[in-house]
Amino acid sequence: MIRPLVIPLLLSAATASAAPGADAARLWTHKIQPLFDVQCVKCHGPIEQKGGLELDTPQAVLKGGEDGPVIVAGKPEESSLYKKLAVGADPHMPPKKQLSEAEQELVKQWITAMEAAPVQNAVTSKPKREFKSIPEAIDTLIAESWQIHGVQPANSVEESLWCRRVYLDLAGRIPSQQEADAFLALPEANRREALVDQLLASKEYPVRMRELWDTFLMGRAKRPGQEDKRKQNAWWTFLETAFRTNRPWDDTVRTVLSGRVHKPEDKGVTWFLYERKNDHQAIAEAVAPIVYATKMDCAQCHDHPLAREIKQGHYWGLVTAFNRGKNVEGTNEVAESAVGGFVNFTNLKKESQPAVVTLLTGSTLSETWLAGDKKEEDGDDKYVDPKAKVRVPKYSRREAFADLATHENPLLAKAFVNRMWAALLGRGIVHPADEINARNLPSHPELLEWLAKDFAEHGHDARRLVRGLALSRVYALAQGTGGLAPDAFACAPERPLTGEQISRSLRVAAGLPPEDEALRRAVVTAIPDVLPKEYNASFQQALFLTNSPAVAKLLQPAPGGTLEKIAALSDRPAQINAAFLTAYGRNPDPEEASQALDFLSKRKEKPAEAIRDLLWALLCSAEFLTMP
Amino acid sequence: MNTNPDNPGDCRTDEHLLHRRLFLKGLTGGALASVTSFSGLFHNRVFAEAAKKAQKRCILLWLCGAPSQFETWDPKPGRPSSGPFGSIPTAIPGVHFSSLMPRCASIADKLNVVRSMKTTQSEHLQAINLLQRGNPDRAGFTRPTLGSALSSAIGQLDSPIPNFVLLDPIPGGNEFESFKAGNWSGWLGAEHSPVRLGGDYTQLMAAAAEGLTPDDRESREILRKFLTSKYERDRKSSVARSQNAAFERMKGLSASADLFDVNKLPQKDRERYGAGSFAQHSLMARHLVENGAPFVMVANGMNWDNHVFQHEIHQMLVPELDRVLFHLVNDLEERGLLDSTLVIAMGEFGRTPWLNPARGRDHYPNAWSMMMTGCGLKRGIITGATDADGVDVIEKPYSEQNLFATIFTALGLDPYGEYDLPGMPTFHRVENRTDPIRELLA
Repeated sequence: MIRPLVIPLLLSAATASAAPGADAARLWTHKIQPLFDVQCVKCHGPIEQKGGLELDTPQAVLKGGEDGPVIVAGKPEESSLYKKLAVGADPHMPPKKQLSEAEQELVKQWITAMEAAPVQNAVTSKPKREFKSIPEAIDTLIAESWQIHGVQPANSVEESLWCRRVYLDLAGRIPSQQEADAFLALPEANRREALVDQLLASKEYPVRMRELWDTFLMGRAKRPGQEDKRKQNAWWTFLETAFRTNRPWDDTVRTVLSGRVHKPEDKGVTWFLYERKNDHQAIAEAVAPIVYATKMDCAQCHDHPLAREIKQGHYWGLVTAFNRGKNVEGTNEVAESAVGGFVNFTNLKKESQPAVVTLLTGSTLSETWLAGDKKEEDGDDKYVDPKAKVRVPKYSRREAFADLATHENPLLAKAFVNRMWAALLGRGIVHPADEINARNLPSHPELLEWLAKDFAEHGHDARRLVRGLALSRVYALAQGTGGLAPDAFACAPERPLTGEQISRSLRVAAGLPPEDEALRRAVVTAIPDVLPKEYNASFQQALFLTNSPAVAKLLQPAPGGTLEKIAALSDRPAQINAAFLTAYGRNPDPEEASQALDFLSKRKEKPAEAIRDLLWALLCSAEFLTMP
Repeated sequence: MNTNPDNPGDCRTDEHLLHRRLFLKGLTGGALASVTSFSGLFHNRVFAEAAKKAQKRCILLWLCGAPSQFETWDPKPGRPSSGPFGSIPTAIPGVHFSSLMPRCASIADKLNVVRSMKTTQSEHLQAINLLQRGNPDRAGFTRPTLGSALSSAIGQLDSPIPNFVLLDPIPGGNEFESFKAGNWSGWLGAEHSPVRLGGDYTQLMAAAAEGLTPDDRESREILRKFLTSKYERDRKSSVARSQNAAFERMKGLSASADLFDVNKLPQKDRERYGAGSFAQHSLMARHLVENGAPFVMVANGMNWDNHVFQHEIHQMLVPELDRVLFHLVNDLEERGLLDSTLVIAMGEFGRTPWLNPARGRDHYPNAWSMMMTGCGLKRGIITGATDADGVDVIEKPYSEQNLFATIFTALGLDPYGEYDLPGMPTFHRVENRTDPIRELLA
């Protein structure tokens, strides 16, 4: 019996083991920072610094404000920060509000604990250890954290369910009965490697990766026809080719950002920029999670209120990387001006500042700003071919940015690794997966560093990374039964399937070829979420499964289809077993078998319809709609 | 008091029919569900009537994209800012509306107009957020929209009709599309998000799977629920729980599917309101509040954003709005529901007093108008004023916070009520104890 205890694992192994200092750090991360974020940081943080005081990092708290320190480490009674919280204190903080006794007590505990080691050491950026393979790194470092935190991981999942899981992740569908049998018939020693390699080489893998990365890079299509345009303009082909040929990820990103076609297979790449119709802010917001590893939308109007490394200047700098571009009507290409696009942005204090392209690593695009009102003259000599319909400047800011973003920018690899980890393991090492910043610390920092470095050193090889994740022991854990912290990665998390996975799997379960464009569209419209932060089944989803003619059509008897095969079986228990195997890849347990038997028996007048409705119930249940 | 029951055999005195304590409890705070089941209560005729009248509801005609105040509530005849349409007198002596609104002019004494809205956001997405949430944004926190706030405050648990219905047939709609895809309910949680219907969004409701008898349908659903509940139990699955909740919600909705079917609305009403989907959905909104829906929002994409050919497009849009408001307000009044139903018609800002080169009016938050009437408000009040050209407010400027304080007060809610949010900063329905628009409050 596992104790129903949720242990957050946010601290690195190194700091968690050292006793008193770790207490202060732990208290800060889990209790004090969240408290200060909501109660204090609005006036004492990156945006405003009343009294010169900032309370968003332990370092800043220790530094104090205009009137000196606010904390004496180890001595809450002598710390003005603590004293001002008391009822009736004068001056009192927060100004119009009273912290509860429990909250005051936490602050007291934290200041007391600071005596030993006031400030948590910054997480080292260099991995300490070497590992021979990705699975070895994952399994060693994750198991180490289980041990430190006394977590009992789940068992390994059954082979048949592992097979189903890896088919869903790499091929985007469940295996057919024959495929599942073929896997189990292989000699046990190397069959997992064999299946993973087979799927990675399949035609389905690049499609599955395109579906994921299309939503990460473009978002779900919302307007009618938007999806068709992505397809017609070869954007999907571009992504699929990149994953099929295992194009290095840095090269893919460089091509996407430059938006220029240098090779025939790059043809669709311009659509990333073109679809956004000259909305340079929308382009910047889409690029940020890929290149800066974090969303920066909120830095549009002010520095990030909590993650202080993200400045308003980063946001507007990124906008200027693209603001010389303009869609050329009648093409799918984006021309670029050789001049202009120098903008100023205004911060909350109404000060105007120039926007300069700046990565979070600190590197900038060095361009000369002309003084005062002077403007650089545009001219034909500034373009490669001045007569071209889509003009390319000799100096392209977009391409300069694309180079900058894909050279010596470790965040590029980190963002990709964390996103693929989240796709296969249900949650990023940094969560949310597209917000790697100072506010969202990695649950396993050494592992993330190692994986990112390994990915970059092996030529940004996506297939190698995915193979390593899928062959790790952590990937093969069974589902939990509650009580384990999700960031412990000690059991398989709940992962609702995407619309594409559901559509193809429905077809496979019905005994049909997986591809059905009309069904895919219908399911994706009803169930659009991909890796949602919070899962909420909508009533539209239930309505779709219940009433959609597309789903009903799947369950009509067809020659060689599942329905006919099941109906042909001799008795009801055999039919029930076959139905469960088809839908879930497992036999029913006694309770399920008896319910299903009851269901079929009550409707013995119309046996074919009864089997159809049994299948409907199985296919519209949580087990079918969720990762095994 | 009615002592002549409709049917022989009915009890003779009305009070008799009513358990007094139940009655009183049921009418406080709108929390009917905490007393007994919603539908159960309505089996009692007198209680049903009384509760129906006391329950507060709200219809928001969301004129997204933002209509022009000059072609609606605040015409400036003879001034450069005026368009080609004249102004006409109304039922209130001395007050004129645009000549595009003759019907509303004839019932001006049943409406209230605020001509002095003054807000700060001039871009759609920011302004939609401001006018839907009623308070300026605070970074890192998402405030519930009006509909979500009301769903939580006056909605009923387990009601078969959703507490927040959004009728908008348009899947796209520029910035409004982005808004729709975002988080409506903020810290109140997904259960207070809108249930979106209208157009294709309603289609599946009617399309019951072919070849299924109601009994077959019911029995396969029981089996599905058994399997999903077992999965939930065995794996402590929150996904399964959420799916079962969604199926339950659908079942409730399907039971009242006719309410969402335009074709089931009386033909005469449909003709009166007009053929457009905004008109038909406004009629549906009336029908929904008659049947107990607490909040219905009607929109039609972002069709009011007329940067090009403003006059030509407003010439089509305003008469439809005029007709819809006229019938909606009259119908609610006839049914005795106007006293408990707040009707609001507004966009996210107004339009510029000048035309751009494309003969459009651009965004203008500086001085604009909106209409609200019914439920706890006076009638026939025209408040605030703009200068001769409508460039600025010269009398009683009101912000989104003034507006929301008025809305909450009219609906019998404490406008400064504090949200109960453990581990979060203190938030109120309206911050800074901003005044309601007092001259509108009855």
